[in-house]
Amino acid sequence: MTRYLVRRLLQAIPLLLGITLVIFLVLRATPGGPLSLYDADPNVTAEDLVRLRHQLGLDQPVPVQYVRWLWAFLHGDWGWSIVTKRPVLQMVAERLPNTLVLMGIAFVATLALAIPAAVLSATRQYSLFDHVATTLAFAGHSLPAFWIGLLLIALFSVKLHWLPAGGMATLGAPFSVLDRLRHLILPVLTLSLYDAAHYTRYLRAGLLDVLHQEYVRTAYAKGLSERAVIQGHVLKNAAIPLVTVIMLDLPQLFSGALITETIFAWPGMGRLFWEAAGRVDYPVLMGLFTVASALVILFNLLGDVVYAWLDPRIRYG
Amino acid sequence: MASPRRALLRRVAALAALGWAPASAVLAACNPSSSSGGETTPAAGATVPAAAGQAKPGGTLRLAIYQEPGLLNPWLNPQNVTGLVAEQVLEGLLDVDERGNRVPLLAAEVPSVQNGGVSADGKTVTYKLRRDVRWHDGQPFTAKDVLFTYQVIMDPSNPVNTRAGYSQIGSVETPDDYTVVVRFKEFYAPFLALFSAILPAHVFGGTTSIEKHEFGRRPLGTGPFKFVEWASGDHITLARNPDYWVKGRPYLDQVIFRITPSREVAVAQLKTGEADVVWNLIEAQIPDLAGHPDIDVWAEPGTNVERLVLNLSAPSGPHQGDPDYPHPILGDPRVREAIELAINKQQIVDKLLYGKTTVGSSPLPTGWAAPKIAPSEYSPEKARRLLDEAGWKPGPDGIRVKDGVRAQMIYSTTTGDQLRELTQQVIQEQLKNVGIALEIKNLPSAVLLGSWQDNAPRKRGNFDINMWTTGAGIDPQSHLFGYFHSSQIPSEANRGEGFNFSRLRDQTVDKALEEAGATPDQEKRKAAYERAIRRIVELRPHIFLYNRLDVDGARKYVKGHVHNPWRDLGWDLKHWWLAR
Repeated sequence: MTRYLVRRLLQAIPLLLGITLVIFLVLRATPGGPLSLYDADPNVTAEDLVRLRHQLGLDQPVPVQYVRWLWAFLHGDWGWSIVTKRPVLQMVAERLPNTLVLMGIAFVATLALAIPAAVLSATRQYSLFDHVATTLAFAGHSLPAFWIGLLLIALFSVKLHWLPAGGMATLGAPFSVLDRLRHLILPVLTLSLYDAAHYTRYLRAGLLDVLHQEYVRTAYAKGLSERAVIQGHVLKNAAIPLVTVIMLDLPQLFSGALITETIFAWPGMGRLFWEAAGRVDYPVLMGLFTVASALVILFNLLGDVVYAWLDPRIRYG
Repeated sequence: MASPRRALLRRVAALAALGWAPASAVLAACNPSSSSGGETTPAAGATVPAAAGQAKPGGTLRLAIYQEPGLLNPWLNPQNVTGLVAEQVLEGLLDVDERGNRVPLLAAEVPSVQNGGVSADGKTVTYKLRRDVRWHDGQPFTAKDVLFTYQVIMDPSNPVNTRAGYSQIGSVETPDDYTVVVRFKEFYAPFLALFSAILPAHVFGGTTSIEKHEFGRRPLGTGPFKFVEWASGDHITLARNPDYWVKGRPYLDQVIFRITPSREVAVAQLKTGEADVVWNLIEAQIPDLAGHPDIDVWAEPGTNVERLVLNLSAPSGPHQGDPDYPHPILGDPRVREAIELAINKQQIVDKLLYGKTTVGSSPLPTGWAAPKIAPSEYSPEKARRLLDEAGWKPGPDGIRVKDGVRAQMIYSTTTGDQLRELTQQVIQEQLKNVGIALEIKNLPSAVLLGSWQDNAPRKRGNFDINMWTTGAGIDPQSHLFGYFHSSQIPSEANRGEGFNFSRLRDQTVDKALEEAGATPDQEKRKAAYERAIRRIVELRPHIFLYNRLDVDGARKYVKGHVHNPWRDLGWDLKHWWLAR
């Protein structure tokens, strides 16, 4: 097992390097750049653009720019944002807690919704509950997150005035946990409705698969209660497909939910990415992409480890 | 037979109807301040009694902006939103009022040839500074700060947006604490626009290399509001400056710029009352807000004009973008005139802009330099006749042909703009009506409006008809010169500099623009601009469609704002107050 892990980690390094190189080249190839802000201003002369290009290091050949970025990054220097002139790490550090709070709470809410729904649905297959649950899950999965979000705002904020339309806290008011919670309700609801629909379907499919296995029938035949069977035998095995999906989604704890953060004006990592992409702020984008890629690779690996824990039949050589 | 009750009700209703007219007249007479926008605002710098009896001091204003400034140093960041926030903290020497007059701000008076502030040749400018101004930390504002600002702009290590105008300065001297003498190497016509934000010399510890200085996040200035905090991605808070040099101002205690990810979210917050004002909306959002009982839409004509930009040179092939090789269709001025005659601009304004603005007719719709230009005629019959005269005969499908060339062109604007898409369809239809086919092919803004290095079509001359918005500032020189002077055609030779995308080359226009840029005499400049503009309107490198509106939204209790077409929404924030 340890050999397997070490091998996977060693493989991850060239993979990550390759990813950063591809992203770097793709960013440079897209039209526009951090200086496209200046294109519409007749006061900015060609000399100004040449000078700005040089001052920002953009007139160097692309491989040189890449190596310089990589060298700094490996030393922990994520560079300075071209637009805000602040260290990229500082910008990330400001936004990360907001995203962690939102995504963390949404993750917990998602699981709290999905697991009971899936278990009840699978154990009472073809019952009324099952039909309702699967329909809702299908609907929730098909409706785009931004539509759900906008609908919730239109209903609960604009029409009913029960909940705020966006932001993390009421402007100008002193800090209050209740206020923060009020602002969290709608974005968490948007995220968890969508994800819970997703997870419910995966878990239900996994459960249905396992529930018809012979060892489960044996357990029932031995007289174990339903609760004991589900908790002790079924859930761990049924969870494997769900674990795959969760592991791929976990990097979102860092990278945030772009669309939901935009709709609810939540100052998190998703919006940081969106703004940096709009302004083609290379250092910020490279930092965000690299960490997100690293997290995906890491969580993939973690997923494999979790499989082995869940199902002892799975062995790695 | 009507029941007594019904008869009574009918009588009551009749009485109510009769009484309504006098009652509402009485109510109207009792309510004097029914106009939105409030009192007339005197020029910045004067102490204001005016209708100040109404203005209530105090309160917090929440202004929603849909972009976040990169940093609050306007020298290092060209965004409009940066200027909006930074100008509450940092002030310049001069300003422009809503009538287009220059007014003094940190300078005591506007330097001119009459008052001896400007030499006869315009190359020496003397600013006399106000003596009662203090920085937010209490230090006095002096000429040293103006000199420091100049040094920062010229310091090669600072990625300043532009040095235009400053690189023409030979020297900046400070003979005493409240006098600044600027000597130009060569005359720079828009010199009054310089020194628009003064930096505090004492904050930077002696260095002029300020790119990464914390000042970009925590600016310190002389303005009506002090910087308090900036929560990234969320909001920027400014507080009242109690020692501001305009006595009795600002009225507001606090201004919070709420950062929203998009205009739509900002409008949603305005509707729920979480924001008091929304900055920089578009015309298409007016009907959404117009019916709302608690919201005022502030929509006034600005200086921007939406226009068709026509390529007068070859759009493709080895001579693409070269003015020596005229466009096969647009090279003929009669064709351009016919195109303008075929477009019903008033219909576009009435149907797509709800009649809220005016038809475009000139690159300068307003201002001291703007001549009165009558809008073009709408006459498809005249258009057809002109095209016939020019040798374009209708082909079998109705589209005109000449010497084997079909009158078919590509019409591009930015993607994702519903108003523009509708305008394109209207114009496509109107031109088809006179036998010209337009194929609509839109591009994202970054591509269409990109740079020479990015092979942007308008820079390279690789287009037929483009459409976008632009406009001049209070001094039209750089705008008109950049767009219409023959030296400003982007080419390999000048590294793609210049905005003369149409590739216009006309002696009259060139000479008039050169004259306008060579003298400080306002009257001579105005006459030169008139000559240039009349010729531009005649030659039609641009066809001016409609004048853009500056649109902002506000809750009805926000008072004190006066629209200024040359400045942004927050130019008079120090005079705003809340009526609640």
